[in-house]
Amino acid sequence: MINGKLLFFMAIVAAVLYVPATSFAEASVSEGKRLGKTCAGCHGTAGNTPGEYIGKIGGQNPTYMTKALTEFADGKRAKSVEMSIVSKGYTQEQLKSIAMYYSTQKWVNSTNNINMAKAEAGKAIAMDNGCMDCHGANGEGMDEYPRIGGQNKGYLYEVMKRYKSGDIKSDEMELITELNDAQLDKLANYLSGIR
Amino acid sequence: MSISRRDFIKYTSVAALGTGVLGCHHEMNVSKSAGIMMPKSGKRIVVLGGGWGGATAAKYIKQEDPSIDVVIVEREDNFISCHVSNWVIGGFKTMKDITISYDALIKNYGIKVVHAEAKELDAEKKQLKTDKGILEYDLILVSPGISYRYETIAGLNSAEAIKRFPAAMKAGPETVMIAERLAAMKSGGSVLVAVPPTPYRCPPGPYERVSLIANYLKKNKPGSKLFVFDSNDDVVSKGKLFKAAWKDYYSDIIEYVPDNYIKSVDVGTGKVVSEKGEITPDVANIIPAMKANQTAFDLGLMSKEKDLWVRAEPYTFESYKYKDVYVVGDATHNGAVGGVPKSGYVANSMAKVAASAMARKLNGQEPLVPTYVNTCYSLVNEDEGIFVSAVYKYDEASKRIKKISGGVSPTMNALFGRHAQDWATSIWSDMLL
Repeated sequence: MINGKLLFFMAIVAAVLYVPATSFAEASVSEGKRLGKTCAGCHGTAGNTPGEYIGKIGGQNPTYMTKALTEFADGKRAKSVEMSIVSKGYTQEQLKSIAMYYSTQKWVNSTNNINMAKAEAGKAIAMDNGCMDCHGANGEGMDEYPRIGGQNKGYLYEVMKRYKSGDIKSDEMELITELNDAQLDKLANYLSGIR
Repeated sequence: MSISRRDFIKYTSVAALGTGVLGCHHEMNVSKSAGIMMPKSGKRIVVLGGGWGGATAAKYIKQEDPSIDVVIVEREDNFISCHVSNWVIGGFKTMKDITISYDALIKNYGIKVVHAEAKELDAEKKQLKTDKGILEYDLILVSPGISYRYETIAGLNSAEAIKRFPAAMKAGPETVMIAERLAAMKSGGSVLVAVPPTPYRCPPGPYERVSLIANYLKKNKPGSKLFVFDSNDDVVSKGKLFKAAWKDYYSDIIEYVPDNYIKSVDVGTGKVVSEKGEITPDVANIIPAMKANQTAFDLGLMSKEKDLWVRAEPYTFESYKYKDVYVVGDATHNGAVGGVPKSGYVANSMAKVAASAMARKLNGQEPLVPTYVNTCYSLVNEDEGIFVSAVYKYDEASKRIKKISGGVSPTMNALFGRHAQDWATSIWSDMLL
């Protein structure tokens, strides 16, 4: 017969054996690898696309990337047409896994050609607007703030235009509405050129 | 088996670039043993075909388990991309832009590449016989691509006729032929593109070609006409988008005739007879109906006598015909694997599933649940692109691939055109770098 003490002991054992969140995270990275390999067709092996207008995703911050993928799936970034279609093919948990997997990959800086004069001007714009206060001194990003230093140039330019037009809603990016396209191009040259 | 000195050097240099396990006595083996080349010492996967499916599989097997010896058997010296080959025909890319060597796969991953022609498969003994010798394997992945069914069009089944009416859905000399003939054509000339019945490789491919030839004619050959004879009753892929582009840009150039298959060709006069009429175009691009590459037939991979494509189960892509023989890419049977287009991206996706399953099998592990994606861009002129995209899953009930979500671009624009270029360089790097 099972007495109260034994029941209590069993409860303790069960609590200790309960798989905590950390090992769930580990499993999620492998799940993300399983699901995320197909992303490489457009984003390059390990998320390191050699292109200019498709974003690098290998080594991106998982919090930001999960947020972005969720917004794609929810139709909140409708101008990213490809991603709006593709992300709908996955559950919220799967999107998180994919983000986690790519965050474990090595970030490789863009090799896009940089116009140095524009980059210089872009640096001044970044400093004036405090871009690096949130995105980090080298644009390395943190939490909800994406890594932007060394990102592909054309991709940065197009995404900034979407923040400016309000196609992507973000309170933090509000101040970008005061910049014109030529300034965004300079910013893109600066940010992509951080290597 | 006889072996020429040149071939002998070829194998041994390939071996030296690989793991380096082939010492002197192994080299002796090449010439002395009963045709076995590069004798197998550990786990080995042979990959037949170094295209979208094969190159991807080879790289991803090595990424999964570098200890597996991976040997690609490919008859061509270099990879030539079918995707973007229409841009060569359209006059704004060169063959050099779409030709990539296998060197990076050899150097970066230790993959071996043997340039040979597959002749016979012994699925019992696990040996692939090629014109250069026999390769032993534990598992083999076959990604052979397509062959044309020239015999379905009267008068086309000869070397001379094929040259006069090239198909060019395998990028290479035929791509160049069409580009050169367009360039040589006088203004006010006529061009014919004949679209094959489905299923065929790259559903939007012929329509992208139509768009880019029209774009070329508009700029360089005023007054010319482009006839499109489609065996299908409508544009097969991205239909609304292509037709919108044709209406906006090429309405006075393109004449699209649906439901019009080619009955016969005359190599002497250049006359083409179709269901709905005759034409003698200055430049003809006739794409015949397709089947899995003839190699798949020669190796005995067909499950049923009249099959034209190879049946494989899409959880791992092991063939229904032979155990330990996997098949991916355009050569797969739609009824067996499910409704996925015969696209490069799908081949790339299938190859990753097969690569993982094969590597795991050699390590005594169960395959993972597969996942597949397709994304494919086409250009309608030098700048503007359109695309189709879809995510698929494995459906337990039907044992086939099923679409979860998908769609096409809402319109054509320059950003999608830039994405089309990036797409190409990204997926090439995913396969070959």
